[in-house]
Amino acid sequence: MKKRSVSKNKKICRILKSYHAIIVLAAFTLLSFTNISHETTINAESMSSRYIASTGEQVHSNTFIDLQKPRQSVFINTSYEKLSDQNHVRVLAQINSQILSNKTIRYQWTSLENSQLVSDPVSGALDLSNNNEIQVEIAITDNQLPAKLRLQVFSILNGKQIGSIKEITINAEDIKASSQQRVKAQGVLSKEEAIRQELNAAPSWQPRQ
Amino acid sequence: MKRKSAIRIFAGSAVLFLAACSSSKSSSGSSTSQEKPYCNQTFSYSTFHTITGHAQYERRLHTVCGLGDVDPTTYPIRYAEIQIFDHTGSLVQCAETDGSGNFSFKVPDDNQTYSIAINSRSYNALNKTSVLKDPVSNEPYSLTTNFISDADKSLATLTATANEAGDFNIPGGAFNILDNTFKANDFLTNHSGGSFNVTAKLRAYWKRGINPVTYFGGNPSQGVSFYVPGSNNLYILGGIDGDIGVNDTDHFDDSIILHEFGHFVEDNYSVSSSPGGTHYGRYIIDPRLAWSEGFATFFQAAVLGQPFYQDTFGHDNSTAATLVSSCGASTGYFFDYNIETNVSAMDVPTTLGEGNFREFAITRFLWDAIDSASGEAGDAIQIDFTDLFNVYTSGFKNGEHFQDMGLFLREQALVGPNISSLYSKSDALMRASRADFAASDNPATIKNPASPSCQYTIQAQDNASDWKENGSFAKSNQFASNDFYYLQHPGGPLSVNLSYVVSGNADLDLYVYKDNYTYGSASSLLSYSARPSMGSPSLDNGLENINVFAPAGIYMVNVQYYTGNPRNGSGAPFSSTTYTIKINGSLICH
Repeated sequence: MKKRSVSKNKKICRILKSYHAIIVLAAFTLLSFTNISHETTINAESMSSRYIASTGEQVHSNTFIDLQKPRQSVFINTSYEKLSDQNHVRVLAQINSQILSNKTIRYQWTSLENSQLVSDPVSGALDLSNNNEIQVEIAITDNQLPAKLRLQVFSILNGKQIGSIKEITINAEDIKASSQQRVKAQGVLSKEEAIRQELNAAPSWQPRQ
Repeated sequence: MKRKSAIRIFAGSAVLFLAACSSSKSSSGSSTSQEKPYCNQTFSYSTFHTITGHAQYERRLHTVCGLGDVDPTTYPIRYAEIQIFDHTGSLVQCAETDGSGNFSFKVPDDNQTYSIAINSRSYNALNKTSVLKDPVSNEPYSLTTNFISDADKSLATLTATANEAGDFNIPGGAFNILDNTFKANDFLTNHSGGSFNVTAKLRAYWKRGINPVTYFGGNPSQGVSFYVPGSNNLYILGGIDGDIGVNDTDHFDDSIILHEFGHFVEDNYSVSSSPGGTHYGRYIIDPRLAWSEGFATFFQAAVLGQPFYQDTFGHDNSTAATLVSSCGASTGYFFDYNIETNVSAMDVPTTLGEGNFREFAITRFLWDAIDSASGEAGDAIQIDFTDLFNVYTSGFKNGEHFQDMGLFLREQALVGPNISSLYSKSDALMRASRADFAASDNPATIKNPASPSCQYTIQAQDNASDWKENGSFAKSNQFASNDFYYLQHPGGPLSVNLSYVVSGNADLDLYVYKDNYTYGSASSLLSYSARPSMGSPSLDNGLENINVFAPAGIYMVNVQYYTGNPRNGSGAPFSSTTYTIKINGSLICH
């Protein structure tokens, strides 16, 4: 009897395991419908697809506070937009660095698809009057999408090469989505609503600064 | 409502039922293995051979370009676990490398083939660390070789390479992490006045090409090393999406490894109330975060004995002799910061007390306390790390909440040595008090709201020219635009009443946070009052009131200057205002 019971259990487990992914996916889908807070559990969908794809492994963990290393001293913010009357996407990068105040920097865009330079290396000086910022841009034609780009930025400080890198992937669908979001964001929130929204924003894995 | 409850039960049951089948599997079906026990048995044999050898690791050079070629100097693998197996895979002996990377052990004299594995683990009085591949396999890195037990012999040197051509997994990275944890433990042992013993065990997860933030669903392209409080787990960045040639890696950045180890020390031997999160070293931030990060960066400098904080990305084949003009674009420094000279200033405060809210100001201050007294103008102080560590692990820790620099300096001043001459140094501007953060809630005897000692002035200020106030919590200047009061509530009704002068665009709001709060997070709030005013006097009577029933506990009362109201012109200063605050009817006074 005992043996049969164990074997029966194993069978049930085997069946369940074969439907494991489906059941878990269904469970998490249902959980997301119930608006259960993500504060306590990171769900399967939020796991890194890259890590899972490269290793087939993933771990579950409760959301936690994390103590990180300081971020880089040269900042690159990228954005892109498609102008309605043109057949290209404008990629804009804002480079900012207090530590390289008034320094000349050099930067280059590279395609991640083929490691070729998208534009020749360029130099420019950080703009003191604009909080040590410089804006650089390139244009990607529509037929180059999707585009995976890397911007590398360097300068010399105290005889060493200081810099940063930023990678950006541009998909045609993202451009559509981003223009919609831009329109949405134009509305002005009341103070009460703005505070409420920020307070209740689901805590990201990296808590707000 | 009923429907939602039913769905919850179903979803929960599905997960629990599966968990009963296999508790060691994650929801993707991949197995999570426990770390294997440390090898610490000594096997005795009547007839034996003595096998000796040497284990070492490689690392990459830090050059003018960034992370350069493989360092021609090799480094001993110190105090690491050794396992010896017979040809059937049975364990026949355990050993450890010594402080020079040498080892010696005995195996039976039987002319059989044995294998040796030198693992990236230590568990002894000098170091208790396991450097593991990932949190799923929990396997250490191993250097292995075989030998035949036919005579006493010395094995060929085992080397953990730093070069992908030698071993794609670059085990030199793992052994460099292990050695840094030994350095840190050794430093603490020798700079704690005998109060430090290696007791807590650390797990450091690292794998070539892997950004560990992906284990938790973070942004895979934003590389980061981090420590998870309460877990004794540290995660070191091994690259981004398989790449180590251009992207950020930290396995040879000792500053980063030791910074994160500093958080482990804080977690196990002191205490942290940091909310965690991103920090750049250029903005005023939550003082608990600034303290935790500032101390961790100081700790790495203290262990390494040099005032630098270095973080590289990518690597190339540059050497010590490479000219900077010859540097390619594949590597560089995110940071090559000189803590002592603060060249290209970072985190420089302008007002007394502001330094308590800036991580690099804290780092510089602590470094100045222990470095040579003759190296810098205004720094005539030199104490030992021991003096700081004793405060860190006693008065600062015990029975306190909301740990920050103000609390640390207040406790340090009680026991000395006197380092107060450093407080006003222009790149520090520290206050050894809790006046700027977690001011006491003790009700004063003065009951007259008109008394200056019961009135507080507040005027919002932008954090930085590229981090301006905009009404959000994210950009609220926690030093200038906020006041914080430490509240010990016995339990029961709690009323907090804020009254301020309506003036210009001044608009104050009231928040009561729970202990260990994250600023601006609803889940951290007990209650708040942020009445709409939008600068309109008709809607604003200058009063914010909270009346709740609160459990006994520790809370933080926060008066926040809301900055979402329009300024009178671009970049114009915010209006100054004064306020009084009552807690359960008692005025809070200076």
